[in-house]
Amino acid sequence: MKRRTISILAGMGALVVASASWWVYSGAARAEEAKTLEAVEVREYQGEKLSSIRSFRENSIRGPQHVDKESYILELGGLVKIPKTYAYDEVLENQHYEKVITLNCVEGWSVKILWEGVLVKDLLKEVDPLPAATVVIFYAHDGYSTSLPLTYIIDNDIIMAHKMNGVTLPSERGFPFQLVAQDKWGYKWIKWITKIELSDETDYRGYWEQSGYSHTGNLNEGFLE
Amino acid sequence: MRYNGSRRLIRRIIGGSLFAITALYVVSGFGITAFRIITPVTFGLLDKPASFRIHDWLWAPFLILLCLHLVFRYLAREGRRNNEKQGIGPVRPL
Repeated sequence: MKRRTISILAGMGALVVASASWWVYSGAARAEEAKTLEAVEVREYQGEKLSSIRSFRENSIRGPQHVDKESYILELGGLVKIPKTYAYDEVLENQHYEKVITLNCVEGWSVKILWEGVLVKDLLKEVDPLPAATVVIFYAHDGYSTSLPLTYIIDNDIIMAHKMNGVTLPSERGFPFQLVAQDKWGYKWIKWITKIELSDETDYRGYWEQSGYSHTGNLNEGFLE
Repeated sequence: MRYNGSRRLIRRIIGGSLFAITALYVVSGFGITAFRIITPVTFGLLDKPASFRIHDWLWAPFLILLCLHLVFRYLAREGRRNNEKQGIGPVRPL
């Protein structure tokens, strides 16, 4: 009888320990999971109403690209003294900046978004551009490219965004980085940036520019040449 | 008779042109929004910038042809009514 009681008590004890272990383990798992959850999209910033990140229309040249964060490399080269490559986290080690800017697409739609990212000029400082460099050419994972004057990039504090409305860029919106080319038509806002090249080729024409879109891409001008 | 015949011919030309322009207007619209399909289907002839240009350019002729089409249709209907009133009987539509 005594042995039986001891067995029952031992069994109940084991059950309690197992339940507690499971509870602690699942709690830790839940906590781990909670850490990785993405922030909720911000829809208002300093009194300004923002568009949703779902308001964009997908119009990239080859459809949404899926860039692997772990193997991602950003190349900086061309007319520079010290060509460099950066991993995703290394790019983000630079000072972050926020801006509310409206993207205007040539198709007629527009979205006002809170962009967060790093200044392109901060990245360029590290590679030390040569005096001959006047143009910055951006290349994307899908083969898209576009160019902007170096003075425009520096004078306007142009950022390369990794977040929109407080959320990390989704794949279809240009993860890991999208250029926030303020005062320019949407086709200058290159997504999935993989390479930045400094050049003296002032007439370099990107993907859509080759087909007849404006080389400058200024919003206050027509987008067709 | 010759007058009716020439009016009919004009109406046919207007109708045909309006149909062609409407079709081109729709296709060029898709050339803007669905360029990843339209460009290869047209062997690169109708890429996105070209679609924009055509779409922009077509609205004026489209509007003019649509107005002409409506006017001629109205005139034809009035003509038919007049004939019926005068007891000429149903005539072949123009």
